[in-house]
Amino acid sequence: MDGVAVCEHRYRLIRRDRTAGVTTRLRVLDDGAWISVDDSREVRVSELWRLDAPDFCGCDLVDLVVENFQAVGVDGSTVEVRVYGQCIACDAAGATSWLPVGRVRDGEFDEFDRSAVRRVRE
Amino acid sequence: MPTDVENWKSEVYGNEIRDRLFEFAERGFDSIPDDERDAWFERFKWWGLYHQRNGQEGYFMMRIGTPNGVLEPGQLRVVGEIADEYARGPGTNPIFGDAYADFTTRQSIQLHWIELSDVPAIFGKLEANGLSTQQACGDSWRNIVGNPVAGKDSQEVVDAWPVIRELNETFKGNDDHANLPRKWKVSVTGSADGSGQGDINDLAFEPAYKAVDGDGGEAVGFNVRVGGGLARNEPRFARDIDVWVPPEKVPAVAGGLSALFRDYGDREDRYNARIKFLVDEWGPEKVRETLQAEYVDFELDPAGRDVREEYTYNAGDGERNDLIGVHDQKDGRYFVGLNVLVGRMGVEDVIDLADLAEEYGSGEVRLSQRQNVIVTDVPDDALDEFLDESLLDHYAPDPSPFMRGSVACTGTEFCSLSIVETKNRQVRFARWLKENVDLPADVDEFHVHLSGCTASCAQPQIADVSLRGMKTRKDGDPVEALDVGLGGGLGEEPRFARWVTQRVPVDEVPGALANLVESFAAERDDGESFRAFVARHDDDELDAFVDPEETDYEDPMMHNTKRTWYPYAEDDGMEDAPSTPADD
Repeated sequence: MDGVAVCEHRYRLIRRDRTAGVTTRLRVLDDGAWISVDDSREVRVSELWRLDAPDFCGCDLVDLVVENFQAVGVDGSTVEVRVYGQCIACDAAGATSWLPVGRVRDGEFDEFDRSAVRRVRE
Repeated sequence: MPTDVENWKSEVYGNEIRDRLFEFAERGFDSIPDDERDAWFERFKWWGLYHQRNGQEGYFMMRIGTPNGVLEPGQLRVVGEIADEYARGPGTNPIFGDAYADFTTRQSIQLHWIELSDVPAIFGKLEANGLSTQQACGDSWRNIVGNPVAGKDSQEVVDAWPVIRELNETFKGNDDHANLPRKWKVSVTGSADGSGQGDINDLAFEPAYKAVDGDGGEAVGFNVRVGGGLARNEPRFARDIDVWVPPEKVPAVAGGLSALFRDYGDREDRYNARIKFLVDEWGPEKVRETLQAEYVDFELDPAGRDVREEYTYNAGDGERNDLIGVHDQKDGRYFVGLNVLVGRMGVEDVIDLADLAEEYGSGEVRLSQRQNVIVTDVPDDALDEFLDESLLDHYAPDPSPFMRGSVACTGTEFCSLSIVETKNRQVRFARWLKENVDLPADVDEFHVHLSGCTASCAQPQIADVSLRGMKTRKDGDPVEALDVGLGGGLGEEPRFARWVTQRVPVDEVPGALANLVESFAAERDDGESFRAFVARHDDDELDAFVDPEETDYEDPMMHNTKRTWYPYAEDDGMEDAPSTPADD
């Protein structure tokens, strides 16, 4: 969490980069439909994500339908979310641990490749 | 710690949003400060404006709240004219065209592609004609629902329409009840058919008799239930709090419960905010005790004799499973329920229907919770001629069971939360089922509700067949899919559907339903309803009946429709999304 002040909350999280003096507003909005980054809708539900998340289910890779965002946070410059969803390989459903979805650089948000395998934060 | 939404609401909410909304409309969409957009879009909901999903930036869904679904003479025409002038956007729907009105499962009306700059003119026209978008969305009293033919229905126990009007006048724009922890959905039903669907509302008033003064006489009023709702994989039926209330005291009890929710509801976790969770935590007894001790200044009566054993609406069996068709009014005239497939009607048809309502009835039109329209006050000597009108070939009073049973939410066409395309898909499903599937001859209703996600706006859990948006892989590729639930319905003993089959690729759903109906027809007992048939089978047996299969049905929206700016656009990629509408 180098150089980052974090106020972690389910609906509001502000990342402050001390070196650049840039504040990024992160929110879960519209009943969990969106991750808003600086008042812009950036990450949406309804995707299929591949996860390396052994705590979620027994599948080698979770094939998760993203139904609902539960929370948004940051780890360093990486934006993370907790989502509710279902593994379509085994039917397990529930909320995930923190998953990376993108990175904030110089105040700009870049979403990670949606087809990439995401690894939960230990 | 309060949420962002609560912080925004504490700064500006309720009636005061309107002035700022109009300022933004006058100065243009871009005048909303970049760092205040989330806040203002959340607040605009209180005035019935919901920002459409990404790819459609700057366009809004506008919801018009019509209490109890009542459109007084002339109002439907106004809605049609507004849709015609203002609800046209850059996308054309291949089934419904450029402009249309959606009749919702809460007896409201939704228009799409509304531009902010047009809002003052639209509000002006609505309000000049007695219509409003106030509190149609947001954390407050939503559109009050009930039996849409209240005051006219020959089966009525008590006329709920004056009660609903008084509640609407009391709690719309009421600063004491403008900022609640979450939405507040109220149903007031006076008929014995259960068509107000009180069981799935936050607060329900249901018809009930109460013995008075030991002389054998009975007064009519309402029993009170609290804490129903379908959303988020947490469906609840409203709980009986053992209170009967005469019609004149309904506003006091409703206001007391609204205030109880305002004061005790969870404002720190929006997922836990609906009153159904407070009822879970407290139990109905504590709700009653708190209402009595802190919110009303008279002694509450215990519950009276209800008429729930007579409920048929959306119950899966018996008469009046919906309000389609010709029905007696108590004044000797008729109301005629017309099927509007998935609740969507093109603007030309809206205006034509307004014409017919004026020509053959009183001009009044009412909306049901099954997304259909009802023309009221048709006299006997005009009935046959009305039924011969060509518009009724499409909006039929005697449609195929698959057409009349179809309910669908907005879906990925406009909605942020939905996982799949819904309205056009349910139209395609219904048409295919009508052509290819035969129900047993004595089964004339079969409800199929398609909801794009767990928010359950299409009320999927209370249908014969519940379809809910999902994703799966087919031949390795992600495709839109549907979970299948069976056997839900209301009635004396309401029951939520059981989700028996998961993630059926959308192109295999019609085949699955055909196989299901075939098994039902072959294995049902004599006269057995579908709901009863489902009830006597276990989940594995039902899963086997739902046998997904490819057929000649082809689904053009198998891909991720959420990755388009508009699924029906020729160039549908996000990179082809239109720019924010100009302020003109």
